Amino acid sequence: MIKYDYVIERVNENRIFTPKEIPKELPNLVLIEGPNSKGKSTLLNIIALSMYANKHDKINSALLNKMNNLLDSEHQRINFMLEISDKNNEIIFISKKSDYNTNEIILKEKIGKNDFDIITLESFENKYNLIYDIPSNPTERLKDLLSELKDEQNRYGNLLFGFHDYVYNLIGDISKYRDPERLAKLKQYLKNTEEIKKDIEEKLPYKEAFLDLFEKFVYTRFFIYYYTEKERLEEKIRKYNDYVATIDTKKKITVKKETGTERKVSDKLEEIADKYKKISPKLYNIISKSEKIHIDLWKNAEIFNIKDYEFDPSFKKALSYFIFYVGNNIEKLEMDENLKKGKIYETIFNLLKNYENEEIIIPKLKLSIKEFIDIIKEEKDRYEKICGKYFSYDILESDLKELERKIKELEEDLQTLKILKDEKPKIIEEIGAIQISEPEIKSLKNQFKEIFEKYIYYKNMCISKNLDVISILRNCTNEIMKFSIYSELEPFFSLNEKDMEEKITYLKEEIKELYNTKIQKDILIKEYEKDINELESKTPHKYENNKNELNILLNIVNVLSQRFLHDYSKILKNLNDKNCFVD
Amino acid sequence: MEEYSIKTFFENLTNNEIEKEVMELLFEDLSYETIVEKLILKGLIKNDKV
Repeated sequence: MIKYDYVIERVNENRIFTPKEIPKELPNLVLIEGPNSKGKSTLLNIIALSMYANKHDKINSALLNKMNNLLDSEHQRINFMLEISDKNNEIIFISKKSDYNTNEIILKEKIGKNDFDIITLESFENKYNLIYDIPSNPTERLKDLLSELKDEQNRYGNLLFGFHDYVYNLIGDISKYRDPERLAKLKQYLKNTEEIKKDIEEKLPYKEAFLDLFEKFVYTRFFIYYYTEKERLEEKIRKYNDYVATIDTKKKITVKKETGTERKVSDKLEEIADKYKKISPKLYNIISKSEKIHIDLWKNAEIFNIKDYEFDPSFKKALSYFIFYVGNNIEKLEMDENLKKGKIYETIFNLLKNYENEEIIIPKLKLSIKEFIDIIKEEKDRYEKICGKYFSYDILESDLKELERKIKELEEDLQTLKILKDEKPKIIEEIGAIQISEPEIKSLKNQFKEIFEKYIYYKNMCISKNLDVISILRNCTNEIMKFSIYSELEPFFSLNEKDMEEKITYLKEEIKELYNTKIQKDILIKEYEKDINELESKTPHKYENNKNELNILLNIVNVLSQRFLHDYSKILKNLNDKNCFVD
Repeated sequence: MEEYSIKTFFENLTNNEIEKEVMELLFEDLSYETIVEKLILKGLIKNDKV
């Protein structure tokens, strides 16, 4: 900073000059432009005078004359004050000429925190080099100066740039030697990786033990569940099949019975009809005409017309009556002595008839057997009419009773047929019911198939876990209860099958992942150990412990080279274009 | 005299001790290797200046 003030008194003209156009405070590096007589040269001469320039032999004589003219002239006299300091106020000069009558200039110097102290001409010359020059063609000189400055600046900039490359390559070289930084990093990586591996090795047995326990619990639980379900469905299907078989058999039996009974009924009716035809003429011959009502009933019999599984009741009534009637007549005949005699003669005749041709003489009677048989026959024929009548009645009674028995048999068959006919709709209804439930049984069978597959799956899983499946089924409840002592399983008791299976999958994946990570860590550990060995076997670099310092240096050199090659060039260009003045 | 002035001018453009030292050594036309050696040996650059 430059601070100044002056007073110039022109004695003859009675005028006083003080700084007006140029500011009284200026930066150290400054460009001042302006027309003549504005005080530019006066300011420069005062700055030079304040630093003993009028006593310096290296100053251009023309400038010396001008300074002396200002200081020591008859037509004018001067007083001034000047303070000049460097950028950081480390060095400050104060110079004063405060008496018009003497040429004495007092220059004081202040360095750092010291007080101001007068500096003599000799001391000043020893410590400082005063340069004061006003070229004859200043504009051209300024350009030359800037050009020179630019060349120097580029030279130093390039030096710095080259130095930057050198430091950069030097840092790169360290890593080709035994790079301690990389070595430390590798050792740290190795330590971290070994810790992770150790952690995995500690975790794995617990995880595997838990998975084993969890699998045993899940497989046991669902093996029992699906076994029970399988048994239940099997029983249901078996019952259904039995029921269907029963109905089927019943149906077959009913149909068979029905057909057989119908045939029997038909045969019986034929037999009854034959018997009826056979009996009818005999009956008409024997029965008195007075029995017309019953005869008509007999005649009008509708043997094949079965109504409500019942034989013609009118006919049955007539038949009963005729049996009674014939029986009654037989009883009456049996009371007759002639019938008894006739029967005896017939018995004797029938007995002797076999010996008719034998030459036997019956003693006392003196008759041959043939002659005797003839006598008996003659006697027998005397009773033939009553005996014939009796036999006719007897045969008729037998025929009627046989007919009655056949009708009874027929009626029994008709009742059976009726029952069968009555049951048929029920069976048909039951068969229909079976047909209706067929989709249901199909779904039941599908359900059974699924359950059975699950049962087989859990059975195999139990076996794979070395569980005794027979023992599990024998002690179902106990087998499940024994898992309740494991508190670690407690949070999973309420999970459903799907969630449990998912949990097993998750645990397996987790263990697999841990094993994979462990393998990866093993590989990494080997790699790190190999790298560390290789690195430790290398020779150390001269600056292996100074890598950080070199990096700092690299930054500094980079900043400097940028300043020289870029920032300063820009400033110089601005100066050259005359459009700026800079601190 | 003039060369000295430009060097000084450049050196005075910074107050940073290391920057000044780097420029000073560089302007003495020393080899890069020597400059690095001198800077490291002098311990001018400290790790904590990162």
